[in-house]
Amino acid sequence: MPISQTTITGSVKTPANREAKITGVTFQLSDLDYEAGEIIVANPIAATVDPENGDFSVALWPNDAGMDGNTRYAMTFAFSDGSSLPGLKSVYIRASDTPKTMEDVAFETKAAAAVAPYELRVLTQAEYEALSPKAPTTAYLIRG
Amino acid sequence: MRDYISRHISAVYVTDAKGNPAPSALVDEAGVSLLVSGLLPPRATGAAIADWTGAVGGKRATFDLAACFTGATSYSVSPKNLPGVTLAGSVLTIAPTAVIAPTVVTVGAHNTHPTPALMTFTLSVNAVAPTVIGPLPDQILAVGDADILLALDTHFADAASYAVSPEGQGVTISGHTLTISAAAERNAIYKVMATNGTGQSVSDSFTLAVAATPSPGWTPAAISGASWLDMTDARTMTVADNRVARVAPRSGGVSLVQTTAAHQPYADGAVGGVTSVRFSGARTFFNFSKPLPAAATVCFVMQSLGSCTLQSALGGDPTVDASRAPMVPLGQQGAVSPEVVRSAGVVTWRRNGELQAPKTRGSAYDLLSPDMAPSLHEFQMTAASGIVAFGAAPFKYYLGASVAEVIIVPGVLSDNDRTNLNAYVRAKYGIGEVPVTSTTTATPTDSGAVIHIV
Repeated sequence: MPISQTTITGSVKTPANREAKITGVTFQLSDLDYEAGEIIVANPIAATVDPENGDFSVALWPNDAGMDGNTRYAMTFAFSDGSSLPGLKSVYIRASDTPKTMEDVAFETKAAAAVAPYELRVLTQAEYEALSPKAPTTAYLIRG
Repeated sequence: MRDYISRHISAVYVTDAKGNPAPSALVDEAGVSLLVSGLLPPRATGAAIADWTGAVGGKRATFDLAACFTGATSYSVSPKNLPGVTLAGSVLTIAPTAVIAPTVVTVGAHNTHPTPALMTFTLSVNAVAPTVIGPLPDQILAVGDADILLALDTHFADAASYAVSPEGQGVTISGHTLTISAAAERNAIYKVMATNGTGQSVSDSFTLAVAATPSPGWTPAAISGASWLDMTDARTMTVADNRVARVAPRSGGVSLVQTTAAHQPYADGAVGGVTSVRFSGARTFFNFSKPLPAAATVCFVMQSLGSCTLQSALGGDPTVDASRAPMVPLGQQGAVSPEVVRSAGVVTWRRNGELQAPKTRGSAYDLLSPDMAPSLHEFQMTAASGIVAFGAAPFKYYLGASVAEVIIVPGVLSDNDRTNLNAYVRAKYGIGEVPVTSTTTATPTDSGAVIHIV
């Protein structure tokens, strides 16, 4: 059975405002989970990287699609000299039909903690208005 | 994060408790809005704190200010140093350990924004409310008796001060001591109010009766022109087989006579414990030996007998003829028209010196027989000459009571004689009420009293 996929994009720069010469970005689940009868295992997923500007793109299984829904991704950056650095350690990706940036993902991770015990849902004003009923346990952040 | 939100998030909605979507703020732990630039002040979002009143030593109260405010990182309370009022974190505790006059307390919620959110409530801690722990006793005294001193703290608890009303009427308070003077005749109800330090009060009342002291050696014989029939004096009575055939007067010229043995009252009555004559409630009565004066006042001391038909004897039987039923144990012989009967009614009726105005036979009965206790009755009549019997109305209503004395006074009993008479019967029969010397006159018309003699 196919499982959910959400496209994540990102662009990496150095603190000196230069394009980071990364050669790889990998995402690794913290634990296994389940969706649609499938077991989602924790093997690393490599993003497609443009070594010229550090931009990357990857299709990942969204954490909130899992039966447990409490897994996280850890990121690792690899550089042209063969070195590597750990990136974000607790990335929580929410399912989306449209691509998200890593900044979107990071915000959603922080915002989910900020609105607890509410559930977090980020959507457009139109999507929000179309919702009926509104869940009393959810904080709706309107993107726009 | 704020930069991200400012670029990508336009609003936050949550659904309130009523199910309605409502705009919401999104703030960080410091109370800083993540939706707009700048710091949001704390807001009062919970229920207001209700005014609180307690009593020293009473229940404590705690309020979690975190439930009252949103966006606060600290709290304050003002005025500070109120006794028993403490603030620990967000928990405000009131331990009523001392009296606090009504005080407006302001609690504040703070963060780094210069404007705090405030709530106010009125806090009062009262002293313990005074209570009555022992009713004030009624006082029955005689003029000249020693003053009575009552320690009010044995009757009230938790009182700081006392007051008595009416003032200037022989009852005074000094500190916590009530002084009752018997210097003058009185018959009144006094109210003592006990008040604590915060103005709460409780009151209790007592009756003070200060009776006149009879003139030494005074007897009804001193009433000018009166016939005094003393049925406690065996020397004046002709008795055979416990039946009384005649009572001779100790003063005056009217005797009580019953020649028919079957109608003779009995010699075994008791009024206030004093042996007297018993009217059985079954056709026992005396005739007066001579006509009474046209205008006369008839006084008698009686004590009703619960087992006798007092209601019928004194109150009449309303099933017979309500308009003519007798209400006094005096009777006319012979037929008299109802009009004459009504015009010959009693002008005033006093029981133990106090004017009575019963509106029904039932209330008249109650007045004649107060708790089956001895009582003195005084009927002033304008047409007494037709009355020829004592103890029965015409053959239908019979007195069921013991009678100790009958005094027939020509005209009206004077205030002075009334005072002495009441003091006399009080001393002799323990009739406890104090004479009232008012000359107020009640008439059948204006009082509503219906006391007819048939």
